[in-house]
Amino acid sequence: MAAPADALEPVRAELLRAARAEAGAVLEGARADAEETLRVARATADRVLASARAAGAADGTAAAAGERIRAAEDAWTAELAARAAAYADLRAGVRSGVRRALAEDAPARDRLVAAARDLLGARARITDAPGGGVVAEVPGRRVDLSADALADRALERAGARAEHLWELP
Amino acid sequence: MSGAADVEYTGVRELRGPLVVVEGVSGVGWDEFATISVGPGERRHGLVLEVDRDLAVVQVLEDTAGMDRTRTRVAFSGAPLRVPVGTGWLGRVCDGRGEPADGGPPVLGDTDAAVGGAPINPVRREPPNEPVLTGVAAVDVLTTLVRGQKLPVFSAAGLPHLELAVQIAAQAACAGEPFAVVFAGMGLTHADAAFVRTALAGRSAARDLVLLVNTADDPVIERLLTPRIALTVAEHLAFAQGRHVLVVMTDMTAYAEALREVSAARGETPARRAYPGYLYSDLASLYERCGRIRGRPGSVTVLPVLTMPAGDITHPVPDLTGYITEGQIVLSAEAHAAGAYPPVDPLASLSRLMRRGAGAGRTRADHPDVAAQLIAALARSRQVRELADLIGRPALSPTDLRHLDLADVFRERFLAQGATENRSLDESLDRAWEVLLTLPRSQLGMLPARLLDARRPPSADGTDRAGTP
Amino acid sequence: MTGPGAGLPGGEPGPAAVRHPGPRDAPARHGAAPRILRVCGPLVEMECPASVAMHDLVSLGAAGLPGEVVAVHGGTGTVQAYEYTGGLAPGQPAEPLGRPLSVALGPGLLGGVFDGLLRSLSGVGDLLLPGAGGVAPDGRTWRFAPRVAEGARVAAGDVLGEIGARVPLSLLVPPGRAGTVTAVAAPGEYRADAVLAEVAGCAVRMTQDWPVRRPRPAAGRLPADQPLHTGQRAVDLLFPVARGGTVAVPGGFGTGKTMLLQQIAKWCDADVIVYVGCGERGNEMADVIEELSELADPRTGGRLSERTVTIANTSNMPMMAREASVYTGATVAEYFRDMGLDVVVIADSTSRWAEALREFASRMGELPAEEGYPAGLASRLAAFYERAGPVRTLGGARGSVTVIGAVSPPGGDRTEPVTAHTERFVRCLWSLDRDLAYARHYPAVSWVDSFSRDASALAAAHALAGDPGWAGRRARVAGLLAEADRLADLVELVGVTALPPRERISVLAGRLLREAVVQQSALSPADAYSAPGKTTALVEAALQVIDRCLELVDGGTGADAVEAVDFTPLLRAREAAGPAGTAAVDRARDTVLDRLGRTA
Repeated sequence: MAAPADALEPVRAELLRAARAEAGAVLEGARADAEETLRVARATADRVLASARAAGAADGTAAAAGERIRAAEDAWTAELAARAAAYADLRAGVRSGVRRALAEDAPARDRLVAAARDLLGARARITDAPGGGVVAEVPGRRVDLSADALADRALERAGARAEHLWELP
Repeated sequence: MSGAADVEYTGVRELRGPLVVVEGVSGVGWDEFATISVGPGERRHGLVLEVDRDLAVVQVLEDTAGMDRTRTRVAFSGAPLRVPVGTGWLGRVCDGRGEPADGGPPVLGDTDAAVGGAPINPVRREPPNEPVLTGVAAVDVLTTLVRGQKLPVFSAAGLPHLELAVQIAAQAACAGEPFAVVFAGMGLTHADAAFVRTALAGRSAARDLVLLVNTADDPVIERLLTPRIALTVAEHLAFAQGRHVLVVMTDMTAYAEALREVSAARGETPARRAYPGYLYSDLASLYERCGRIRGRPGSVTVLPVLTMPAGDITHPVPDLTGYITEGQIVLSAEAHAAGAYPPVDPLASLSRLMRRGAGAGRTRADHPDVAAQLIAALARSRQVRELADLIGRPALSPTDLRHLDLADVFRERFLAQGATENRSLDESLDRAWEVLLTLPRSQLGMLPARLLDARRPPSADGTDRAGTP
Repeated sequence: MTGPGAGLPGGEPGPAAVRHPGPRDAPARHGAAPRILRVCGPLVEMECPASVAMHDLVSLGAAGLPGEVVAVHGGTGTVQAYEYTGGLAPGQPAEPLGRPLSVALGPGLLGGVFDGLLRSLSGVGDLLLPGAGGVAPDGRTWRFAPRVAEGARVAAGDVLGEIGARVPLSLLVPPGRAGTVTAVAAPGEYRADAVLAEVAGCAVRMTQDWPVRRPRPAAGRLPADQPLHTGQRAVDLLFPVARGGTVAVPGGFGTGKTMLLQQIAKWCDADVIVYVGCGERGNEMADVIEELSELADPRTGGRLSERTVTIANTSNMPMMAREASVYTGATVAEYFRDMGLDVVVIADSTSRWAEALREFASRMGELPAEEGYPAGLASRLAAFYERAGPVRTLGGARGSVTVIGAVSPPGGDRTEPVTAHTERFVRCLWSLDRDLAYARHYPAVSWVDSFSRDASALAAAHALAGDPGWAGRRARVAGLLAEADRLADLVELVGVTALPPRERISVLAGRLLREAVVQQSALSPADAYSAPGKTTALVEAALQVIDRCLELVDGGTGADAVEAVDFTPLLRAREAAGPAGTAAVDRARDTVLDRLGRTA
């Protein structure tokens, strides 16, 4: 598996560079959105927590403890939803970034075709993918170099770096 | 979770049970992780069970239902499965494959680790010697759980093992040191899964819980992955981040059934009750991931829960588990019928590491003696009851009668507690004393006189003339 | 001579104490290496050049995972891999190393902890990663003192010199060599790889290789008639084992199997212990390693670990190394035996070893016999236990290998294949009983289901050594325990008071023998080990007390009165006397006899 990966590396690097430049702006937007969503969610959570604490202080019963836990849970659920939304935005942003980069960079398609033939041989049947990029096939094997697949793989490799979306500033 | 998944193989030669055989592959290694595209937008996952020249046998975690030979495409990741690890897991609820089930984004991490783990060098293991307190009297006093131990709960259908596992998961703590619980549910009903989520909500909200749940209607083969992901996450939290981690795995019988299903599909030679011959080694590859490592602060403690089919302790799953684990907590249908929760059978239960994890500086100085004496008294009590069944209560000696009554006091005052009652060790031990002191002093030979004097002066023991030891 | 000597000139740097079967040892490559064809867990198929022999080592993949050729069929070889094969793929190289699986035998083994292929686990790291099992260069030195001069004629097994370790070792002429000593090193400190002598021009190193599957030769077998004292009363008294004997210890989980074996590893009076942890618990292994390094050896004054070689292959370590580990253990034991030492091999558990056999046979597609085990299981078990025995070594000394193997019957079912076959091949069986263990009676050696076929030979040895009463005591204790068991069933039905007086005393006798003599606390420093004198004193004290009780009831004293006597001093004597004391036992006996006297 090592050799095919190497053959694709320059293509991937270039795509990623283009995508990253594009995604930078998207990311900033996503981050601002995420921050706003999170701020609202956290403010709500703080309020709920504060009132639950007050309730707890008033009677100190197990019910109040349960209420506190429920409040913390609700706040956490809201935060997770906000994070998921931020992540989905990022994915959409990276996808559209890669699509745009491929559309604007005509020689990129040739490099993808060359990479596909490296992997599958000269007789590979090449088709254009909707949204940019190519898909190559020979009997028994197939290589997906569509814009969306490239974008998704790039994002998966980014791993924890996407997490700064919801880290507290 | 995926590497250079570039080439997809479309030559599906065979589909059988949970297996798909792919032809025309090259460079695919054994135990590699695979992503399987089934149709537009649907992705499944698998592991390579065998590679023979250009054929790869892949075990599909989500089963092969709906797969056909024309649309199925398999991509190999180039390495055995790895998952991200780190604190990003804390507070998360995921399915049996580690995909989010709580509305959040995928779990991300700076580093990843192979789910198969690597054996801890026996020379680098630190023998476990500090307790995990669970707030459950029967466990803390009689079968103390020790950090780095593997201690299973043996149960049977209809007994409250899930309640006990959840109570332990909710209450367990290590004297204020950083702690976390990783709860792996396999084959849980939706009602049980909801119960677990609700009961552990507090732990989850405090971000010291990771919950992985494979429900009864989730893919069966996926269960093979669930405990491995749980342990991989736990190992990182423990050995890289210094937490004491308790891993609860329930129900291991459901796990073993998944193993049997794959084995049957492969046509392997079955051993006892059609389970594969490697069941022992497979279970060991999970249970043995507990422990402590010299020079590192954290620990992994494993609490597997299993239901013994028809209550049979010689069934391969409890039997092989018992050979691997360091003791067992056995639940008894009899105690359950008597209305006691938790229905722990104190005589069949045992924590082999307890002598290192209990006592002065660990729990309380009188703990080992009290526990040993209580077990001895309960054993005598059981003998007396069998005798009473044969020859009748009137024929018993006065000492025997006191032992006969001890069982009831034990159940009511010591064993029984609320499913959310977090009992302190001091209170549990004091209740153990209360039970013991219903016996005459001559029957408490395992307790040093010094301790007895402190609890009850010899003069106060007026009734002490009954029987010989 | 101070400082480490370099050994004899001309010896190129030899292998370190522990040899790793890696590509380093590969013969010069001619053309491309053969390729891997198939990978299925530990089973690997490869292209097989005609020069490859059965049981040759192979280095698999880029990581150089060790494997062993177990079948050759046409141009295809089947390899059993000793490490996790994840990621290994068809097309990757499989390089034959041209030699069988061998281990390096030297003084560095004592006190060490090794994996199933005898690779040192010290200094390897916290986690065991495939292909990372490395060679820990052994910088230690040992004192060598030659015992032959240049020009001497020597034969295989003759002593060339002495090696100073906590256990005194010898440098022997290796099997198959003989001739004139052409060079010998001067007295001094040498490293494990030093050449210490030359016999007929061949270098003899302090450390020598030997293939693990081939038993080391001896001049002949001797009768097994010398007792191995284990320090465990239940065993020494009732089911004794001879030096060079074989023992199987079957027991379900929770019966204290590992605990008993660990006690024997600590206290038996062998010169060297080889402890093979085969598919067992990691924490337990860590425990035994730690305890052995803390406990003092009463015989040498050193640490117990210094007479012990530990082979640790825990249940989550690669399964096929488990298969090799018992042979590795036997080979190490034979190495020390050949120096005239008494060696005990403890294998815990042979059932896990048999499971590894079954697992591989199943992957090979062999026709399964009982419960999926290969048809050759019985002969493999027999061959392993046959490596035990007292022998006349090639050098003419007396040495022995005693093998004690744990058996873990599934579900406690003693009819399962491993238990059933093992029982046929061993001289002694120490069967552990679940009921005894549940009653916290330890060691839970059943006096009903165990046996010792060495007992009569050992009775003769005890008589020769000045204890003619040994056989009589053993028979008496066994008889009393059996009688008490028989009566116990009756007592459950009718109550003890319904029995005639002599039978009531038999019930009492059974209890006294069980609690005062046969039980032994592994956790008590005073009682974990019981010296022969103490064991004898305890048995005699109990028997005298029992005889007195019988006399009393025969003389008309009520059984009630006898039963009411406080026997506590006798029950506590094993604890009060300390490991080797007899005076406290005698005092306890006198106290109880005195109390009995007052009931008359």
